[in-house]
Amino acid sequence: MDKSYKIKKKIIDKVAKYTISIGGIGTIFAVLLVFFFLFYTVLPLFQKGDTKFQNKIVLKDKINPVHGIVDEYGVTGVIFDGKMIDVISLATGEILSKIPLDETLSTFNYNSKNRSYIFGTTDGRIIEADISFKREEMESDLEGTKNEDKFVVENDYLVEYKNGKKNTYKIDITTKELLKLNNRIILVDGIFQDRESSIVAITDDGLLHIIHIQIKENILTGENNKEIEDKSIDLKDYFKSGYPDYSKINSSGNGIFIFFKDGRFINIDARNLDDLKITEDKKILENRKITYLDFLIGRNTILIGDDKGYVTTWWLTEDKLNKNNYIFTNIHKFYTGSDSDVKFIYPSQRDKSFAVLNGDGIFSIFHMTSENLLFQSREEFKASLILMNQKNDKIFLISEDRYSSYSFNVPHPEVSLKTLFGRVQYELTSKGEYVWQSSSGSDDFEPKFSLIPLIFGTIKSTIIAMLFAIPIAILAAIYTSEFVNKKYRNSIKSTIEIMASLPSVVLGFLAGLIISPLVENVVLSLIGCLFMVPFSMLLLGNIIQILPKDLFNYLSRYRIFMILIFALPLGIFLGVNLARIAEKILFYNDFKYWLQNYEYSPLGGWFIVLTPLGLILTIYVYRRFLYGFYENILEGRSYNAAAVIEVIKFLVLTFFTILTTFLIAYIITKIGLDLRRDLPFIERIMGTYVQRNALIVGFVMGFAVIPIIYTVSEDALRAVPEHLRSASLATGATIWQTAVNIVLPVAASGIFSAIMIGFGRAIGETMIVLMAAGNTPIIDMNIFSGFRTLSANIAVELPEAVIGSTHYRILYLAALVLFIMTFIVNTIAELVRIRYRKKSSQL
Amino acid sequence: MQKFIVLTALMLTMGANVVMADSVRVDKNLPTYKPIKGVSGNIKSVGSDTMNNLMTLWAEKYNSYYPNVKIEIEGKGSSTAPAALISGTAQFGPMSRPMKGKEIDDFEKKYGYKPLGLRTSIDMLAVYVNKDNPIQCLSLEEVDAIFSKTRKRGFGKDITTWGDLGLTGEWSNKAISLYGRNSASGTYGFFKEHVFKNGDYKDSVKEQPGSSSVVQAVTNDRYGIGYSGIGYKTAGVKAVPLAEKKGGKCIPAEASHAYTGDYPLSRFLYVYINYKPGEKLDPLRGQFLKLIFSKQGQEVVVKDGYYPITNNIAKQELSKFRF
Repeated sequence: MDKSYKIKKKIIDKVAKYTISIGGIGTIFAVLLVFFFLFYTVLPLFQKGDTKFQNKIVLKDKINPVHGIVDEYGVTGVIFDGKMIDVISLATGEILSKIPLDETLSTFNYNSKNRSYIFGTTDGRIIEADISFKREEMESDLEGTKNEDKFVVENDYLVEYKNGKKNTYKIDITTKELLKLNNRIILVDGIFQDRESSIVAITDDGLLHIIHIQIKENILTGENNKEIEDKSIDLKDYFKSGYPDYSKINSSGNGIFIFFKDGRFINIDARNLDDLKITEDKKILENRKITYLDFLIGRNTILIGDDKGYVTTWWLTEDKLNKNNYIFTNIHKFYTGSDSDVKFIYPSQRDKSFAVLNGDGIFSIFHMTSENLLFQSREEFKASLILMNQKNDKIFLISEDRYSSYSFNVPHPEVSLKTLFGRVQYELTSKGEYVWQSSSGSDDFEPKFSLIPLIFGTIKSTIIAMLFAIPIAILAAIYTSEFVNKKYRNSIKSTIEIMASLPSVVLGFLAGLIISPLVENVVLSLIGCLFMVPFSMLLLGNIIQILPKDLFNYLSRYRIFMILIFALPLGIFLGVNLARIAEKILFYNDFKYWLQNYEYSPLGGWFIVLTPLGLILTIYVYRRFLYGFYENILEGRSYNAAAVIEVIKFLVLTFFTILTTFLIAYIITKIGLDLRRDLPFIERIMGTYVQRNALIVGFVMGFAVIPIIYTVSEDALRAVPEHLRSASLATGATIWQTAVNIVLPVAASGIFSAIMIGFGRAIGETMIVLMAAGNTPIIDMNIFSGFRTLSANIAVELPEAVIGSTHYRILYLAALVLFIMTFIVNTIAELVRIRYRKKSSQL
Repeated sequence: MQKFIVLTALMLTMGANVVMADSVRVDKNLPTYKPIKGVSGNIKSVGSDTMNNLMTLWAEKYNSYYPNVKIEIEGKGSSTAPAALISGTAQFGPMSRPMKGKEIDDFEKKYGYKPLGLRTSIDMLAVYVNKDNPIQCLSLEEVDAIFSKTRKRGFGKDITTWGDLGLTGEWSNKAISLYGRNSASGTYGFFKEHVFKNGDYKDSVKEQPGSSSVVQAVTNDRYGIGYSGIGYKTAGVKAVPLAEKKGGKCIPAEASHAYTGDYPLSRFLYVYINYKPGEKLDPLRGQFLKLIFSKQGQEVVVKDGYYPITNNIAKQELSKFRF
């Protein structure tokens, strides 16, 4: 051979080798890069934040802190001391002003949502003191301070010079009398909303007042229309041993909680103002005393601090015996770090975390939902308050004469492995659940970040789509590779491949807006057709054999047309009519109502679900026990007679299938198992019909997956060496026998990877599920209900997630989970494929 | 001991000249918009879906004065507005609810000042049923029991079929099919806060990507119920009159109740901008806002099915920034 050619070959070889290697390594590198990027975005979710001591300042005057509020920047604050409000500059330690309140105050409560105090007086007045913090920004007028940041006190206001700006921090305290009752107020609490306010007050004549104020503001005239409704209930008998120490009203204004220091609790149901009910009077703390108590943000959860160093959380849960009744229940228990009494609890204004201070000076920040301890430390001086600013990034410990401040930075307090993957009992619920509800329009919302419903939705949609797609795609592949005339093979194949080129958003649109409303009216008929179309094909296949042999041979060339012209319409006709009859007999005239009404017998549903089992059982029994008997009958018959017997056999077996199915269904029904509510693990496979449901998505996604599975498995089938087929056919096997017994096993690895590729496509599919699945993040195996998949969830929610926020990172975690899921599926596929390939290469 | 006092207090009288008939008219005192010279550039708005059409109509109007301005509008939900304003991808953030504290914090963390929110128009959040549905009235307690699993308004039992609401005949045993908005939506948050009192949605509420898909879904689903802004009302659906309390007066979602405060679910629609306090707003955005708060801008509001603000509100909003 000539030398230059050799060199050329060598060069080309080298070039090819390196290009391919670079390509391969590049691909692996790209995949790894994606993985690391996802991982890098997700990782901060699980990192502890950093909280640092900032400074300690001695106050220039003594105060008596009972309660306090800090402005959002954490530079000024107000301290309430029982009689007056001290305005403090937290930046410099000066007391800016002392604002005296009414002399006759008898009780107070703090309303964190409105940042206001509500006071009761000895002469029965109820007063609201609204505290608003303002920052006025101006250009700095101070010479030479352009580059110097500092705080000074000017005219009793705190002023900050920063970046050439002069910020003045002002605090407005406006008090207004809300209403007047006739007696001394013992306890008072209230909530104030745009349209409605509710106040609860206990007066020293033993009455508990509930006052609803409804405000309608006319935008045009500015007129305020107020309706006040005042109801009361006599609790004298309950207060024999003394008046209670705390009273609280919940966010909806219809639950009133009364506490005594010794742990006694009274629950008043105020849902109906004309019928106030005392639903509970019980001891909620045994051997412990309540030392501090407040609502968590949102006013649903009560935090109770006791004298043994615990903080317990409580809310109303549904009574199991009487669903209309609610019981005050303990949910979480937090240990504050020592056995000393809890002195103060401050609920965060941004999320479900709270700060606790105990008698030993140990202070901790907990997050309720995740039960995370976000920070814990000890202060040497004897602090009596722990406060946080509204932005949640500063902590203040305040004593009579000094205070210390900490910078607090825990960006993702609500995340723990348990909140992501475990059952969590969220506020106001009675049991632990997996819930995805990521955001809402208010700060007091408790985000629910369980990925389980999304993972479940992904698996559910994939399984249903695959159940639909696998048989069709593989049978179609067998048909085109083994049966069809070679002339048509390529055109059929490319036609099916065109299906794959349909954008999935088009399929989703069709499914969501056209198919689902149509299917809704004909569900049962559709199910009927699912059974009857294959049945009528088989039936026709049997009947056609009765025809004279020549005619049969002639016709069998047109079997596809025969199926389209006869079997398909017949199947649909049978399916629709059977469904109509079944609806009457088995489903009490209304299938959809049957689905949700558990009083109806589940027999019909079992019948549908168990038909495949009945079929398999019948075939097994026939093959195992009756086949020989049947062959004996056929022995020596003429072709035509045998064909007739064949048809009879088919009908008898059909009858047996129905009978077997019915029997099993009947037995299960008699046992009392209902497929609509009490299956083990999956609870139900049928239930209330929802227009956009798993069945629709299954169909349409199956449609999207079929071409892929079909093409790959058809290639695999066609790759089976021709000599195997010829050998099989030559020994007298039919095409079908050859296909099933020879070709299929050899092509198994290819078909398996076809299925797995389909699987991978179905798992990641977004647009179809997004548009047709209803996107309800529920865990329900019901084929007539919707679901939400990981991918659809990312598509729906990513635009609203602020970069770097918890929500944003959790969406990336969802992506990572999806990545891992497809990774596992593909790895299994590859392993199995390699094993099969080794086997088949031995042929 | 029971007392029932009704107080009608005349707090303020604003000089408003809107004639309240069934058709909505724009406040006569609103200034007429006069275009200025030399406005051009690109505007991008990201935010509320409820206000999507409204923003588009304003944009069209704006374009008719300034053909050189290119305007892009994206409406995937109010929660996308803060994210877009913070990252700087949008100049306008229409929102159907006020920004929440956390969002303002995030904004302030990046820019050092708070975003500016302006009340641009009034919406009545309506509860829609299919046009064939015979239901006459729903109280908020019932709406809460239909959509929410927490039932914080205190309705005695869960409502799952139309029969539970007192419908008879073919409706009595039909399951109620629930449609709602995705959680990014301000409407979702508003409904949750004002109807459920911050309770939780049932898991079976089908979340639709936009207001129009909610209405579309209810049109196609005879047994459906959904909610969205009044601007999306079509002939295929019916807005159910709402009562604040069970047994209370049913108030239809009609113009005459938009301003009186009788309808329990009316709200302002906001536009948020990134405005550094004390500085002058660039003419591109300034003129757009000026247009919104003008007679022409508010006529657009009426055209889209929402309710215009009064001159007084417009004045208040315009005084919040300099341009």
